[in-house]
Amino acid sequence: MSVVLSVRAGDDAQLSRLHRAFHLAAGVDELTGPEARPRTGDWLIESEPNEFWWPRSGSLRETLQRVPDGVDVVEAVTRLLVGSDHMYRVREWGAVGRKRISRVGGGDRALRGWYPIEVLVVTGEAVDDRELVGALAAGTIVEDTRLRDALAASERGVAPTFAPPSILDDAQLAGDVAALGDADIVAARRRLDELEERVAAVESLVPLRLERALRTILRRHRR
Amino acid sequence: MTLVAHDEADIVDAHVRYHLAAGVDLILATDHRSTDGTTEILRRYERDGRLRLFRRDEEEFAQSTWVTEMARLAAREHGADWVINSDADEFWWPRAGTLRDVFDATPPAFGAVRGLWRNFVLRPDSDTPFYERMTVRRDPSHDFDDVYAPHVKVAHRADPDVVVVQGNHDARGERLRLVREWFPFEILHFPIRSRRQLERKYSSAVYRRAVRGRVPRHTEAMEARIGADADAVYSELVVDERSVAEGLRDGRLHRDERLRSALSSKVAANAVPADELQLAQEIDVFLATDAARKVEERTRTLAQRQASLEQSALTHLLQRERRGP
Repeated sequence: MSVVLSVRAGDDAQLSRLHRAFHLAAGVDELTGPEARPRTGDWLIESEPNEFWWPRSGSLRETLQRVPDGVDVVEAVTRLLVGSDHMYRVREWGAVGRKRISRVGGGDRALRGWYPIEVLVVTGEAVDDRELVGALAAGTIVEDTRLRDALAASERGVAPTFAPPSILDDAQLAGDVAALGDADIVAARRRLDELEERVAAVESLVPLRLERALRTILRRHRR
Repeated sequence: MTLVAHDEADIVDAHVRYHLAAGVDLILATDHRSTDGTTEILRRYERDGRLRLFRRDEEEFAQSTWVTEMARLAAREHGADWVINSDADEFWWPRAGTLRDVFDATPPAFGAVRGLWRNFVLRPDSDTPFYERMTVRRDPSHDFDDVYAPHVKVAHRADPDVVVVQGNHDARGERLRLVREWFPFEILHFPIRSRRQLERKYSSAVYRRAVRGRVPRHTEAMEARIGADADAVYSELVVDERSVAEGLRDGRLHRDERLRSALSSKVAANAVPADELQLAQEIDVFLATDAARKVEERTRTLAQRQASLEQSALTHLLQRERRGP
């Protein structure tokens, strides 16, 4: 089993270099371009140049190695980082999303509710000091220095470590994920509502109602 | 913590003792017509000031109403911050830190968190307490009506107007938004503990009087089976040494001695086994049944209606006309 990360070339050469060094240290075996075809059974991470895949405990390789047979998809939670030094995380509605890592040639089965990996997305968005103070006080932005520290360590030739999250970190991630879950349920209900309306509209056509009535009469008659 | 007990003498002392040691400040307990010594055990804790006891002698087992009343009382009269709603056979075990740590960590925008049942299998009867014998867990059943189905229970911020639903599966209130996919508690669950308790649990007809005759399907099925042949049901549920060895070997069963150790003060309640993936798989089973069940029902009906439309000769005709010659 290998962990392959495919990524297109980024515009920012320094970020691309850090991206490569970080993932190789985090347990990725091979970085390729999006056109490469990984081998069946490998885990494939399809990344953007500004996405840093952060295992919540152990390395990426260790995390993916533990996935049980029959489960071919691992879900990751994306979290946006702002500020030129990548040390602030946005906590506003909509700042969180899901990404997937898949076993090449595998099925579509994921463990619901299991998010062992975060995707820290470097937005490059600058935040001015005044805005930052207000956002930190309101809790819409929180300090998250993990990536900054890991990249700084990487520059010194030190591999990043991925300590298990504290209960507080766990609770914060759960809160972010809950927002996603709520949005999923709302979207699914809307889709169902729409489908029901469409079917009801067709069912109400007079010729179809007549046909159904005739079929019922015939069935009764046969009995 | 709220607790409703009905003839639970074999487990209620362990339940109260464990939760008080784990950081629960006060237990509000309703004793429903117990005759097996449960009342006396609860009174002992009441005398120590760690438990407030209510006695209910009416025939109806109105669990949801009583739990709701106690949960409201916890907020109104006892200054509670959080309320755990528990049954006597459930032991709330935090996955990290203490009970209080979990509640303190819960983001302020949320007001309810859940625990997932982890079911312990019945072991052969003996004179030893259940927690000495029952040290093996099993995977959850995929059948939602099975006694070992995956279920969740809720703990919530204290709310003077809360409504706790039947079975303590959910709590409703303005500030009680649920952290949906987070399960910071395991609930070590000991539903069947001995032959005697098995018969009492399902034959006492307590559930029949539960909510105006609405009996959970698995309870009704079990009651009928026990009525017909209690020996057969017991034999089917009890797991002997050989089956334990086999189950441990093929991964269906898991050794879990946490409660035994905690009750003999050998281990703190924050010791957690390194079984993150096992738990993740059990949560997955629950989430599949939980979310899917409601959507599934609507989708099935919709699919039937769609199929009926597709079979219609008129639909074929209309579609052909629309496509043209």
